[in-house]
Amino acid sequence: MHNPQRILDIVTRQYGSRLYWHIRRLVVSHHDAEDALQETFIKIFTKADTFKGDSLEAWCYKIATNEALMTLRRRTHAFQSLDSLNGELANLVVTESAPDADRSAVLFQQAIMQLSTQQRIAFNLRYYDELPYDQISAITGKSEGSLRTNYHYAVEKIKEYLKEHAI
Amino acid sequence: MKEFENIQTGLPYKESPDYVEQLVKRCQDAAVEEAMPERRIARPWFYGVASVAVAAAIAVGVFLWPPRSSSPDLSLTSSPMDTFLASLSDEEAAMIVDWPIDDIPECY
Repeated sequence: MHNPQRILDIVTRQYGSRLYWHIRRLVVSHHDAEDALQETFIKIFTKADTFKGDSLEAWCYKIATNEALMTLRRRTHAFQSLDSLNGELANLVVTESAPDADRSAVLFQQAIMQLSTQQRIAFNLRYYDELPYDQISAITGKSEGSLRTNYHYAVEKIKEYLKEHAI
Repeated sequence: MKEFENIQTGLPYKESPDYVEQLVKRCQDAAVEEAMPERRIARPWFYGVASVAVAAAIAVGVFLWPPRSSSPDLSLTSSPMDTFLASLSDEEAAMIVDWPIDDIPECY
């Protein structure tokens, strides 16, 4: 049996900040990211028994991704898809950005918000977290082939968006 | 990464690495505090131990009730009748003990 306290200590030390930024890139709001991170830690602590011992990193990212998606789902109305939040998230990027933030950095995040939720997750995990496709597959439950396609289309869409906005 | 070489792709948010590190620690502490009672209740063995403890407490309670001090003293040497008889003279005691049953006056 795994010691939950020990697992949580390892997770916070090794992946804590990365999990925060992974959630933050998805939910954008700092406040929501903090809540989702805490929920992630609670799940890691209470579900430590269910950890199979394959990849702690992938297991934690999976829980964090689910918590981030649940946070987003709470913002939607009945029968609305998560993708319907894209416009709202793009606006939130501006509100949450530092006053002296680089304009192209803000625009880049807004471009990412135009992607479908699935593409956004694949893109963020590959581009920012630099995780290999087999890890991303373990996190998302999608095949590696479909993740490669998601990433490819995500890059194309972002480039197109940036071109439209003269960057 | 090579896909976006000429653009700033870092996050535009203001939270510094130090701040995030402290935030992570705070979230960890809060999570442990919040998860503890849930975890204790979620353990199946907790219910087993609690049930046995309650059953044992009930059994001990039933065994000890009523309290010894309030139970009637059935020993012959210290009965109230003996005490009463001891306070009588031999003659008085003989009268009471030898009182013929048929001669007990009707009181009602």
